[in-house]
Amino acid sequence: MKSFGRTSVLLLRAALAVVLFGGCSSVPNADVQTFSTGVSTAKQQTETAFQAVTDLSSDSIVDYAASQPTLNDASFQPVLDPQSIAVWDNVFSALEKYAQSLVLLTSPNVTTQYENAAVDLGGEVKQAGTDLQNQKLIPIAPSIPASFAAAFTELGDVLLRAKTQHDVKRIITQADPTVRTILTTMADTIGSSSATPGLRATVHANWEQRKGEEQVAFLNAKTASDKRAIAVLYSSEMSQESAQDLALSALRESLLNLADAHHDLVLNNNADLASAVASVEQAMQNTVNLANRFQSMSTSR
Amino acid sequence: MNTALQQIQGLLIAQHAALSKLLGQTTDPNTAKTILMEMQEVLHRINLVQNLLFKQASDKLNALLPGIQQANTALTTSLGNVSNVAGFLSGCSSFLQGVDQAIDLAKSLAA
Repeated sequence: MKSFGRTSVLLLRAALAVVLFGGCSSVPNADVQTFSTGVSTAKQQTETAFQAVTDLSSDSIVDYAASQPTLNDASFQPVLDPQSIAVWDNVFSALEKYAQSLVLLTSPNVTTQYENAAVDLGGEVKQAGTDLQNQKLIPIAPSIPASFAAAFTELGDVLLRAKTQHDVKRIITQADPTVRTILTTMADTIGSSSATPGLRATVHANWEQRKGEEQVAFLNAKTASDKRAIAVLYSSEMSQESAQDLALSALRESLLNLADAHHDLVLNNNADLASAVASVEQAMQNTVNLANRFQSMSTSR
Repeated sequence: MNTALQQIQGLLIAQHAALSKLLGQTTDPNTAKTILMEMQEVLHRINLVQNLLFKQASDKLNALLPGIQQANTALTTSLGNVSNVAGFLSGCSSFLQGVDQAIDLAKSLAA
């Protein structure tokens, strides 16, 4: 840092002012990545849960149809229709894209392309100046100190980051009510327990029906071994019911946690100062790295 | 979600649970079979109402979808702005490369 000129230091100070007083605390990339992973996991959980519900209810639907005096389409109404499942899939896909864009915008590498272009431009400016001097078109090739070029590039870098962070903050703040409504609507559909309206209660009723078949079979069983076999089947169905309800309960929790996680990104209470300090340190280190790149360019050409 | 439909489902679930409890206490196979058939009728309606509730929730989600898509478009635009700055610098760099080549050509012609 000692080799930096006065202008370079002023530019760095300007960069620090942008970071510290720009009124925009950064949205941590790690938190955004956690949210993104959570969305993908919830999507998979949902697909698995819905398939299990469809498999379970299909038996009940066929049993009902078989018990009717006539056979027609009306008896085969699915619990979860494919068109509605497709809507859930679309919404999850949109959330996944949204989360992935957030990850890209908050990535530490978001300005790498800009930095490389700035260094390349610096090289070309120097080369063109040298060529013009060699051709005696200009008396002296323009010279930009490496430290100045590095600081100026870093200022641009910090400004770009501040702009992207400002955009991210504004967009997630605007989207937060929609994200929350989507995720809570999904959680409400799953249901808070197996005794209150929702998918969990419907699943519970379907399992009760299936176990009811075993209860009737148990009463009609003639031998002790038959009764035991039915009891084993009943016990297995109890376990399967419990596992399916746990899966649905976990899915509901995941959806609600995701809604909270997104809201935490908006609030971002814990990141203000620490994140600003970290950004300053990163900016300092980056400037030194850039200065080295500009310096090596001036010695190699 | 539709509260009336939820209330209906709540009543059906309670009815199904009551019949299930009764079935667990019945020792007569014929009575048990009758209760099970009744449970099946109730379950059919639980499934139907669940289907309607699921469709309603999905319609609500579908209506919210543009909100997320707009947010994603805004994020993509912001990402594009960063690329535009880099693109501008690359453009300047390419221009200067062209200048270098022109000077090299001039040198070779002068030699």
